[in-house]
Order: sequence, then C-alpha cells, then structure tokens
Amino acid sequence: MKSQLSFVIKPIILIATIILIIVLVFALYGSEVKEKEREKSLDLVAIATNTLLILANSEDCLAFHLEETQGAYANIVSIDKIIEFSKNYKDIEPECARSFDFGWRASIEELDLNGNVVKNWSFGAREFSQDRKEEINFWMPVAIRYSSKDVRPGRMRIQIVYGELENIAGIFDRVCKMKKDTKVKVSIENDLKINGNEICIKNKCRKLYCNVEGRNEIKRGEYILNIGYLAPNKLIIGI
Amino acid sequence: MLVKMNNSRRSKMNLRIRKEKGQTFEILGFVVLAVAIIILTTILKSGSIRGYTTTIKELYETQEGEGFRAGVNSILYMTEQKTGKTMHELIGIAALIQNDTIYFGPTIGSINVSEEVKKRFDAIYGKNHWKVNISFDIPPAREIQIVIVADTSGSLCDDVNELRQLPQIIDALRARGKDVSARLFLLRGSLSCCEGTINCGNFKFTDYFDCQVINPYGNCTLTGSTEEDWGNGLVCAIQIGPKGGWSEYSIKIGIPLSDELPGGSETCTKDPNSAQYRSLQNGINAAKNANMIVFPFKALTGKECCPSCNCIGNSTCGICHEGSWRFTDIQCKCDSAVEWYMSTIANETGGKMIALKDASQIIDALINITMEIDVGNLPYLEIGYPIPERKNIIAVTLFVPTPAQRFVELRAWQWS
Repeated sequence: MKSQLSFVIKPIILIATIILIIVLVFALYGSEVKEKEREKSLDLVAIATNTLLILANSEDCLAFHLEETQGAYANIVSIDKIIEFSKNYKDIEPECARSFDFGWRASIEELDLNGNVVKNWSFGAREFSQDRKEEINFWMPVAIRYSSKDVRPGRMRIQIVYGELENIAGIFDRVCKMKKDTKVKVSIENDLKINGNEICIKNKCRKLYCNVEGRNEIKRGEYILNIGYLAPNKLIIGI
Repeated sequence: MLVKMNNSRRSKMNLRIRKEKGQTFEILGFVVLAVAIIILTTILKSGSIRGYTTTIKELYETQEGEGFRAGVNSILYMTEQKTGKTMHELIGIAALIQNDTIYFGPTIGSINVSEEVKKRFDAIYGKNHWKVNISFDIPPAREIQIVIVADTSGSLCDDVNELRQLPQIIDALRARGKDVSARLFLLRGSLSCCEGTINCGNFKFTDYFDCQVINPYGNCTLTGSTEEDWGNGLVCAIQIGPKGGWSEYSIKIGIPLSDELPGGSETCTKDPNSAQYRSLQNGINAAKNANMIVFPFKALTGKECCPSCNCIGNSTCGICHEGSWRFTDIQCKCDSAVEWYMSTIANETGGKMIALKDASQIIDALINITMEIDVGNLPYLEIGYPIPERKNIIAVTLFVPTPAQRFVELRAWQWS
C-alpha cells in the first residue's frame, strides 16, 4: 500500500517541481524584461536631457559664454550659432553633441510673451528608422541672445530615436571619429543600402561623417564587419 | 522453516520500504534545494536590476532637476524689452528696494517685476505649472527723497516760514538713522509777507537740503501757470529732481503745499477740461511715472474760522499779507474743492492728504511721514500658481545677485 502511494506521489512531485521551476523562471524573466524596458526608457530620457544641456550650454554647440553664470547651466544660446547650426547641420547631428547610440533632431522655437512661436530653426538627423525601437521627445527652455540688451524666450525641443539605422550609422561614425580600424559583430535585420556618405534602410536614410566604400549593400543577416579608416574621411568595409 | 521464510520476506520488505522512503526524501530534498536556489537567484537578480534602475532613476531625477534649474536660469537671463535689463537684474533691484515696481525715469516709466517674470514663465511652462518664491531677506533701501512744491501766494507766508526749520529737522532725522534729503521748490520765486519777502535765500542750505525756484521760463516742460499751480509745479519738481538727482532705488515723496486748487481757486471747478483739473492730472501722471508717493499739505483756507466764508474785513480770521490782515473768500469758498483735488492725487499715488490746522503742524507732519513711511517692505515675492497635491514636483533653489552685492534666494517649482 505504502509502495503504491510512493509510486503515485513521486511523479506528482516531479511534475510539480518542473511547473514551479518554469513559473519561477518566467517570473524572473518577465520582471527582468520589464525592468530592462524601464531602464532603457529612463536611459533615453537622461540622454535627451543630457543632449539638450550640452547643446544649450557647451560653447562648442549653441551656448553663449557668459561670465556671470560661472559655469552653471543657464541655457543661453546665441542667435548667430543657431543660424549657423541650422545651415550647416540640416541633415546630421553636430559633432559637439553626437551620440553614437541614438539619432536626434533638435528644433529651437522663439516665443513671444503669450507663448506663441514666432521663429523656428532646426538641425540634426533628417530621417529616422522606420521601425523604431525607442523614441522620446523632450524640451527645455532656452534664452535666445540677440545682444546683451535683447535676450528672448525660447524653447529647444529634441526628438531622440533608437533604431537599426541609428545603430549602424553610429558604428560607422564612431570609427570615422576615432580614426581607427575596427572589427565589429552586427546583426542586420533589414537590407542596408550604402551610397557614399549615406546609408538607407527601408527608404529611410541617414548621413554619415565619412564616405563608405567597399560595398553598396549589406543584406540582412549576422556579420563581422571589418571597417577600415582611410584619412581624411573614408571608410572601407569588408565582410 | 515457514517462520524463517516469513522473517526473511519481512526483512526484505522493510528494506524496500526504507529504500523508497530514502528516495522520497532525496527527491524532496532536491526539490527544496532547487526551489531555494531559484528563489535566491530571483531575489538577487531582481534586487540588482532594481538597484540599477533606481540608480538610473536617481540620475534621471538629478538631470531633470538640472534641466529645470537651467530653464529657470535661462528665464532669469531673458531681458525686459524697454529697459534691456535681465530678469535677475530686475529681481535684484526689486529685492533691494523691497518693491516689485521699479521706476526707470520718465521715458521708460515703471516696470512691474512680478508681471515680467510671470509673463516669461507662463510663455515657457504654461499657466498653472509653476511657482516662484523670491526671498527679500536683505536690508531694505531706506533713502527717502522729498520734494516740496510750495504755493507762493501771500496766504502761505506762515507755512513757508515754518519750513525754514527744515534743514535742522532733516539733520536731526538723519541723526536718528533716516537717510532723508529734501528740496524745496518755490512756485514762481518769492512770497511777499508781513515780515518781508521770503525766497530761497532765506533758507539754510545743507548737504541734504536746498531750495529752488520753479521759474516759468526755466527748463521744465510744465512750470506752472500761476504761483498756486502745484500740479504742474510737481511735474517740474519731478523733472528737476532733488539735490544730487533722483536715486534709482529711493523712496520718493512729493509734498504740494497750498490752500488753493492747482492754478488758483478763482473757480472751484472739477471740470476735466479746466486748467486746474489738467494741472492735477499732469501732477498725478508724473508722480505715478516716478513711483512717487504724494502727501499734499492743505493749508488753512479760512473756512476753519469762518464757515460761511463771509468774513471779509474780519481781521481775526485772516492772514497777514503785505502789511495788513486779510480774509480771502475765494480760498474759503473752494475749501472742499481743494480737499477733493488734494485727496485725489494722494489716493492715486498711495499717499494721504494732510489738512493742516495750523502752520506749526507742517514740521510735525513732515517728521511723521518720514518716520512712518513704510513703502516697499515686501518680505518676499510670490509669483505663479498654487502647488498642486499628488503631482511630481520639481523644485530648485537659486541665488540671484542684487545691485548691493548681496544675494537673494529664489525657489522655483514646476509640475506637469
């Protein structure tokens, strides 16, 4: 009788154990995924804030240097630099605030005292990935300095996007800026077209800092890319 | 034999049961161990992920705060259109004078700092999404600059004569810690009094007191058409200013001294088209633009001792003028109109009309005004909207420099 009981209990315990393990593993995996998503989203907001602060407060970007602020963030941007950036960086992020992990486009709005937009300038990436993994829109007030006696209210907006196009462009731009040959493992989910200093995925294109030679197209798949740098601004790709 | 066989079977069965029990415990032990390991791994892993997320969240909140701080800073560096001064310069001046209305001269006029700050915060953060509190915890500006515009008709002889004590009184007030100075303006020059002529030469000039004549042919745009025209006379006094000129952050006090309507009491009119009314309006506008508080001194009109105003020839109810005692009925009849005119300018500028019962009250009245004046003693500026409950509030504290090389604390809140 006892042996019959043991014969029944054993498989039940085994099945229960397996179910319990599966439930625990799924719970662990689920919470990990949720936390990662949250982490990624916070990361993106932090990057957006950071990029805006750099844009508005770095003299290499748009900031007007003011002794009085003593290095504190004051978001005072020079109208001359705004005009220069909107002319020179119509379709690519300026180097002073380039992120190799994300793509972004910023716009600066001059406001009247009723909060209406009276003028608008923009610069940064012209297009983004069609299938975006992450995207965030963020803004910050800026003071647009025309002269010492004329500083007007403004708002700087940024759209930050993370997708395949931005990721691959980041890899190429990083090599171009580091000026160092690199071997990198990539997983390309959609066919990639290369045309000089422009790459396109699903008809969405991005400008690169360097001209890319060696291949006009990379089909979807997993590759180890050999990216060689040739001064002054050329990249040679080998697979 | 049978017993032996039974014993052997029993011991075999016992062995089997013991073996099966051992296996069961083995499985149970394994299950307990596996579950414990999984739970431990889960706790450790989720703990480490949560810790990482918390760090990122804290980092994000810090950056969010920095972003807001930079935003507030940017607003403080925006300029006001008419003056070209930044918001933090305006706040600094407001803190120094402890008043959020700042006068920038006749061309620019007065600027309300609270309104300027509000417009910019509203334009950027929107209405009902922010609040700013600026503490004025610094010693206030106490400089008091007084201009007195005296009617020089004969009926004011005793009053103007009293003002000859003013230089000493001002010195005494200064000795009591009041940073006060005064300039007396005599409309059209001098007074013919029983004791002789009174003009600016009869006054002792000091570092903090002097006297000037409002000359109808002088440099002022409006000089006063008669010796009683204290409305236009005040405009001229504001234009010329006190000794050393107007100080940007001073408390400005104007004192017209008269017993008649501005321009004369020949008619007791309140008609907006009358010269008297226009003179009053000119005075009000100039005082308001100068951020000046007006305390008109109404001298005796004769109504006090002769309510019917029918006392011509009554020496006990007159004034000594050009060697004889006279009762002037026009001043008496316009008594209430004078009161109305003087009260109007006082009310419009935040001052008070003072009806003198005797010329000797002038000095006491001046001392009281100087001692009791308490303008611009705002302890702090509170601009914006009430902070809501159950909202994610971002708060920052900044320090704004003032022209006195001191800093005031600015606290700002923002919510979505």
